Amino acid sequence: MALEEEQQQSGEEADPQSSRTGTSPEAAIDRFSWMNDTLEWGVRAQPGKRGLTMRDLNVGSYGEVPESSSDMSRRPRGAFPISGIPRTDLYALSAKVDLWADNAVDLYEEAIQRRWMGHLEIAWEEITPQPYEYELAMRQLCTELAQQASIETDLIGQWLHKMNYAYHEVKTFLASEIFDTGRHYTIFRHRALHNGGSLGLESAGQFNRRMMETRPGWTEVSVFLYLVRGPLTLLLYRFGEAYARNKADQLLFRKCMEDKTRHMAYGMAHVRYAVENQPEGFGLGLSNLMRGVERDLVRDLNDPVLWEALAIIIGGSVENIAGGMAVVEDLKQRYIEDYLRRMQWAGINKTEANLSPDLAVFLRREETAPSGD
Amino acid sequence: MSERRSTALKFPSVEWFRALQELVNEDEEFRRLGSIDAVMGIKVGERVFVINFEAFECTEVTEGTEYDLIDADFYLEMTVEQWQDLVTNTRENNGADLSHTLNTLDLMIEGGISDNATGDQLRADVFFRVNQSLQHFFDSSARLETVFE
Repeated sequence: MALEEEQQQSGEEADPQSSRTGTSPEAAIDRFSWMNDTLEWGVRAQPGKRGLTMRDLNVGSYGEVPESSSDMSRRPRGAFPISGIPRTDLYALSAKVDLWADNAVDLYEEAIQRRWMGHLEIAWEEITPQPYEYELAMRQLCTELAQQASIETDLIGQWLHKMNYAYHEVKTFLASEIFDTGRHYTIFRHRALHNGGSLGLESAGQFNRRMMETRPGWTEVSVFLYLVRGPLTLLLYRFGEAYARNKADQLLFRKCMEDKTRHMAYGMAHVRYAVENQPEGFGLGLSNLMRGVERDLVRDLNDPVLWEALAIIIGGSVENIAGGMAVVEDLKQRYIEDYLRRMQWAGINKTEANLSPDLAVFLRREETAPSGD
Repeated sequence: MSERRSTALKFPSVEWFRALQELVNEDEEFRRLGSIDAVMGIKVGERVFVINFEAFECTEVTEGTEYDLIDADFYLEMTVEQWQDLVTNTRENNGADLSHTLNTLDLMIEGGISDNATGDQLRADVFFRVNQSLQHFFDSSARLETVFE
């Protein structure tokens, strides 16, 4: 429907700006022909209990998500296309199946509505100095977490511009995730340096490199980032919260836990969507891909630095590191179990039976299996 | 978590959870934590309660049956004694102490306390996605005068 026609039907009053410039609405429409260039007039979005959300705005043609898009401009979905506009990118990800997740639109709102500010909301003054070795261990854990966050920022960043604007739900959600990981990077760096501390050793890095250098597609990267690395990061946050010595640290880890699970919700939903909608055998291909990935993962997991630091934090001191290490072994087992569970949820046949033997060791089945005597 | 309410409420009961509902719906801090969309089941021994959160509010509290847990995003299950310990600790410390947060209990209690009844990991994760709001909800019970059955 044309604007003029719609205004006549709805009986709207003249545009106040037109009045200010001394022109009648009719004259303005004659004068500005672009005002009739629209794909759809008459759309009415209604705010709900959460305000006017992106989902609320997805009405009419503005809510139609194409299966693929050949548009190589940065035209917002629903904007009127102009002939002769040069391409602004050559989007590698222009098919819905390559990046979509049904929950992205709501996760974006969740990210915006549950945002937080570490420099204001964390009571840093409550984080008082602890014994030296404990502080060293905490700085090591925080250095690791800061590096995991910065890798995530760069990883998403190198894919985001390849995603077609037809899928703005995903693009905006991932933009919010980059903001989150930027926050995580600064907050863990801040925590490591708190109490006169310093940063610890950088990460082992094999798996980071694997993620950064993965080229075939965003779905493969999503498997690595959200189903392989994600559960480990989440567990580190959860144990950080559980073994915190003050409420400020506890809140810091808990808020990061919220963010991380939201990120994983997108990743899990996307991988499942891709497995269900790509040609048959796609999920099998992802499963086969994991052989090499798990080798890299094992090399990182066998690096002792993070685990020793965590064991000191959990045990409370170097003297009690053995007690802490028992909990760390439990964390590793939980991690592998969680990895298997999330892969299966996403539709990838990853089980104990086809798990790398070096990773299966972390499941400690021989310790709990009946002896047979 | 100040301004305690003087009328004693029995735990567990619909009245006790509705008092919590009322407290958080009047609480600007709860709203500031952000929108929360979750259906949370609570299992205290044999009794089941279902608590709905929508947008910035706790919208409904009902008593149900084990069957209702199927529709919940996640449910929290502890023994009667463990729930009493949590409620008492929260009351004594004006909010759960370091070892009684929901995440801590989920890690420390054998088998965890939070799960999805159908094994849906995505829905089970809602427990973590809105954890600070849930913690605030239970911490608000410090303002209730509670008696146990």
